[in-house]
Amino acid sequence: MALAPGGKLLPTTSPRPTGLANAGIGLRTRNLAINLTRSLPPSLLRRTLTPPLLTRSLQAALHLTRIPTSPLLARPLALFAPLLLSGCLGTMPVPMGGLDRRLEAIGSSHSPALSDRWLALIGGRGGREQVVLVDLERQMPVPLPGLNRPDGQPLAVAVDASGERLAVVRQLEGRTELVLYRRSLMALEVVVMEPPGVPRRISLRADGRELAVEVSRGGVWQVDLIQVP
Amino acid sequence: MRQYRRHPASPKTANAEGRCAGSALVRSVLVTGALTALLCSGCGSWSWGRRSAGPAGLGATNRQDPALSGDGRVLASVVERGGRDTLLLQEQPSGRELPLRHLRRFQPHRSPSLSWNGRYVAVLIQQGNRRLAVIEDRVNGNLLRFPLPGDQEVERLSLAPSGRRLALEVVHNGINRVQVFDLANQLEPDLPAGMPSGGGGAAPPAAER
Repeated sequence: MALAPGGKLLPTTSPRPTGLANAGIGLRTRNLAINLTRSLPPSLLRRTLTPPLLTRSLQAALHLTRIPTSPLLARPLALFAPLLLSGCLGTMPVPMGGLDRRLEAIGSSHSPALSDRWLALIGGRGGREQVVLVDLERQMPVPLPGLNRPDGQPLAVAVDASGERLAVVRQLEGRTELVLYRRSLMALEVVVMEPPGVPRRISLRADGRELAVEVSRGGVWQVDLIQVP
Repeated sequence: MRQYRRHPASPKTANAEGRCAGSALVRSVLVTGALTALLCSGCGSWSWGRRSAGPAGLGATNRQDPALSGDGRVLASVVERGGRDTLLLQEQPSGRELPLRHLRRFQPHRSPSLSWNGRYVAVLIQQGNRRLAVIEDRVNGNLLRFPLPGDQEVERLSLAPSGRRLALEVVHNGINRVQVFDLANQLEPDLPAGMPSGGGGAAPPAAER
């Protein structure tokens, strides 16, 4: 609804936001708030919403009062009132649609590592998890021959900006180890912890030449920085 | 599968080879080589340069959740300060602590992630009884929040080096799922120096100016 010249109420359609791009407000939350408020009787709203809560823009959005309008003013008010309201509600992000459906097909997924074109994660169904590398441009997983083993449980993963190197912490035969996988070579190399320790979380520099590793040594968590040759 | 650690020749092997050569010069060269190898073996590996990330700050013993900026010049990690898990941002390799405007509160912090030059710091914070993903822009001091619907809880996050995308691990009905969000309309890109950024991406953080 909107105010027409002379104060008559006319039906309008709200501007439809497109995810995060819309002034930091999700469509669902904003519409829910406005619709809930509109469902209340105007007399009740006038009694409960008092200044400074009841701003002129809010009054216009909820049609509580006939503020002086001109044909030039009516449309901008109708358009911007919901946006002004949205400032109180916060940002509700919307995931990338097509990619979200692809990721859902993987099953459960966790431990994401994002570079600009690549998304590495650990995912799977029925308790059998593996490292998955998704090409975000094609929105398709790419093969990682030689990386995943049926007897191995990946715990953490990191990927460089080119998608060439993946660092993986995994449990294999009762031990936890850090391995570096080079996709073009399909080669896997063990990175030995010195002094000995148990790796857990990892981060790879964008060029793939440095690793930051969270390591447990004697009950203390430390961070090692390892140059990758 | 190849293992990267290289094992230097033992002194015993070197001596045996030295006897076969039968020359004092060759023997001395081999002995020197063996001694050098012995010294280097203490370093653990020739191929992988290693160092600790350095002290985590006064009174902090544990350091967890490391995250490198794309260019490797900034390291984020989570340390205990006053009994609370707190984000620590350090310049590398100096270890100098970098200031944060918003992220000195809302502990515990977890799962930090950095953009290419460390301009954007994404991290999970605690606000009331809710865990929330936020991104602090170290150039203009803005804080971007990502509240999720009430029945979803965020576990981990990862920010793309350019700052154009954010991946969240979300728990809904007991199932963990990764979701990716497009930030192209929210953040200026933070690109490597020399690449067109569309404004300010490679600029030094305000705290360093």
